[in-house]
Amino acid sequence: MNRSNTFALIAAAVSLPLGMVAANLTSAAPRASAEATTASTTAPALLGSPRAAEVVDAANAFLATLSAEQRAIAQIELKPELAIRWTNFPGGSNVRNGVFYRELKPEQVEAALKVARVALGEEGFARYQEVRAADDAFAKGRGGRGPGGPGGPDQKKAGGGPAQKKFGGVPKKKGGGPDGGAMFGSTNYMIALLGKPSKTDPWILQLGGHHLAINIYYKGTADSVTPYHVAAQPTVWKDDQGKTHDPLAPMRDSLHGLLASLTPEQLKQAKLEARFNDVYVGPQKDGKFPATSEGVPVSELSDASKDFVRKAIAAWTGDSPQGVEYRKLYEAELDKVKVAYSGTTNVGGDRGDYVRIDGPRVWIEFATQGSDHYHTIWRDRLTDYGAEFSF
Amino acid sequence: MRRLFLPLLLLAAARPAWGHPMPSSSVVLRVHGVGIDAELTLPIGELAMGWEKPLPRDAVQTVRQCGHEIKEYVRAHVNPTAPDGRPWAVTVREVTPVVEQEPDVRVALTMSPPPGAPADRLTFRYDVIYHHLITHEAVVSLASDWRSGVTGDEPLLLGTMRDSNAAIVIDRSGGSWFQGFAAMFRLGARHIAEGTDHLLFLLALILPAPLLAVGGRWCGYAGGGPALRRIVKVVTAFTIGHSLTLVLGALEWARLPDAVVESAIAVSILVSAVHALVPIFRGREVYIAGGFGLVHGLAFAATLQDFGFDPWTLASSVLGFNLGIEAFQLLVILTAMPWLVLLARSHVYGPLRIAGAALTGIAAAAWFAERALGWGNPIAPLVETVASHALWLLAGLAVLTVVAVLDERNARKPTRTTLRAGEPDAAACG
Repeated sequence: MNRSNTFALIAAAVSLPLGMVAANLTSAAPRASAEATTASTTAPALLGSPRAAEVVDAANAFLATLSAEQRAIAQIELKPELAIRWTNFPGGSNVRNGVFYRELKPEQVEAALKVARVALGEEGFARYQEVRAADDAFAKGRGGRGPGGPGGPDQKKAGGGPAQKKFGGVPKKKGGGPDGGAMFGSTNYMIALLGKPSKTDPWILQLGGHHLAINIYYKGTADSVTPYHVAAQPTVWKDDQGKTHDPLAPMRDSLHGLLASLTPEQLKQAKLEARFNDVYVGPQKDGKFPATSEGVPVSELSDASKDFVRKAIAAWTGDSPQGVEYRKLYEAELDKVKVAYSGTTNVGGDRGDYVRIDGPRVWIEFATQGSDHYHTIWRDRLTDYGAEFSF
Repeated sequence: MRRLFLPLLLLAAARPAWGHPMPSSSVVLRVHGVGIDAELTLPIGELAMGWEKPLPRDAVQTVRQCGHEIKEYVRAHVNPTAPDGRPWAVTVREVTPVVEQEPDVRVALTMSPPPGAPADRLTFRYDVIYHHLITHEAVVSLASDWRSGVTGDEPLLLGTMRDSNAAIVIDRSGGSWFQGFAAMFRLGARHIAEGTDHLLFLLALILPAPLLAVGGRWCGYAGGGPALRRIVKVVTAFTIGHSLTLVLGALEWARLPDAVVESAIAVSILVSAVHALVPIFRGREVYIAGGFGLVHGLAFAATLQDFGFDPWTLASSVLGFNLGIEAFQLLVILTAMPWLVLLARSHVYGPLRIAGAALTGIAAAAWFAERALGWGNPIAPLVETVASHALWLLAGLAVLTVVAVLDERNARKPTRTTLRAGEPDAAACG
């Protein structure tokens, strides 16, 4: 072999690995971290749940229907950073835990719904199904397409930066595009089990999806059912049989009646300075209740108004088999509860209308994002996530 | 419209009139040597509620009717302070409409530290909109901080501000000239690594370099030495050409519309491809390389334009960026060149050259159709896909070369399968 060949081959041999190395010029994106930690102090007593064992059995039966890979996704660890991983936004495993119904076979979905039915009780399960039906109506009404972007926290355009590159012939497209029809509908709901379903050790059942986040904590024969986020869009619709659906009617009507029953002075006291276009203590805002309690004390209200407050509390708590116990708890503290609102008193009317029930334990918010779009949340200041974590 | 990709913010392609999800504000900061520029994007629906002022849904109307008051409102809610507590000077430069399905207003601000205070450390107090609409949030990101190597294509998320987090401490004092320079170097290298068209031009130009041109055709092996010399000259000419216009373009002394530049690049690749098929300008490759290099340089310059750098930073950026380009270019040449030079001796090279030239020509034509005529076609993305597997192509080339060389060594028949240096190939040239 002559010299030029040798030289060329050596150069080639050296440059080949160099080329391999040069191929890696990208970096990974940062990850957000959770602020929650595990609580170590003594927690308030949780409510007794006669059905806890039944739920465990149903949960295990559901897990048994899954393949090993599915089980690994459906049943994850009981960790604070996983427990707070829920949202009202549409989207899949990028924003919430668990397996999608649309990825399960019919008998697996059956088993999952059985868990939901046992855990939520009849009224709660009916609400659950209605919210999913609302998402179907939403998907149909808008042709299956919806707000762009794979579900995630606030989506916003921002400006500034160098001109879009067009080198190499392809303009660089960044960011996610709308997922279209795949994103909405009742099959885009998930079930997750945090910790192994057990009749002695703590675990959490999460049922979630667009406009829904159910978090039920079980420990032995006790449980806690908050945070409970329920929302809907559309809020009222007619199905193919002509039947009208209005899943958040009890919530809206009780609060509407409540504000309508207040006197002008009481309304003035109840009105909040700030404005709201969503719930304040929402997803990933666990523990971030306002520093001061505002509004008009329920103790100063008429009996009719107090009745409306009780109705409102019943509307949310009724979605749990422990509803009666929760109501007793909250009604016992009714004198320390405050009612506040922002925007107009036409609850469910316009974007920015907002009502809050703020007690030593009970925390309920109802925010109107549009006349056909409500966001609500029920939290218990002391026993969210069974007081397993501190925020 | 300039756009920024922010890692945790996803570009919403189409948001419906019912307004779900609730959009947040965005604050994009650019650190300069003497202060910080901010660009706010405020959704009008949220602005109206936070400001308690009804605003027209139309962005243009909003700016027309309330532009001046918006400036005052924003000014009142942006209050950066120096470490010693003294306030920065904030000037609201302009308010422009952003016409989208969820309309916004864009507000440009300039913030300068008080005398004696650092320009890279401050407490950023900001509560536009969420001082009143307390469910609103503002996502703050850093688009440009040269001394820390933050450039527009990889912005840094600084935090999400809300009523409970209305002041964030920003400390960008850890940077250095070298960090900025290194970032520009990496930007240049990345830029050309992703610049399939630039690389294809260069490769097409060196494809016929080891060959002799006789009677209007490519035939015969010019020899390893001449081949290498020719390649070096061509690459150097290209480098000088693009470096020149990179500097001129970055200084904005030479600026052509992007579409013209991109189309010209496609033409250059086509010319290069044709030359690889048939020697249309033998002996003048250096001028072609240099001349078209000028065009490619303008494209490179586009990356550095609109950064708003001061002269010293710009000079450092151009230097770093160009060195990055040269480094990667050198890598590509060193990686491809030996195989081509070796392979040129065998008869396999003819078909390889023709195939390579033809494919390059098709790619060039496709790019031209897309850029100059607006005819979208599937060829361009296909080229990108193939380019992303460049290492496999290189491996294939290497294998081919090894086989051809071994074949030569094993040949004992009188009919030679390789060519001697300087000898035209009788079969090819006739």
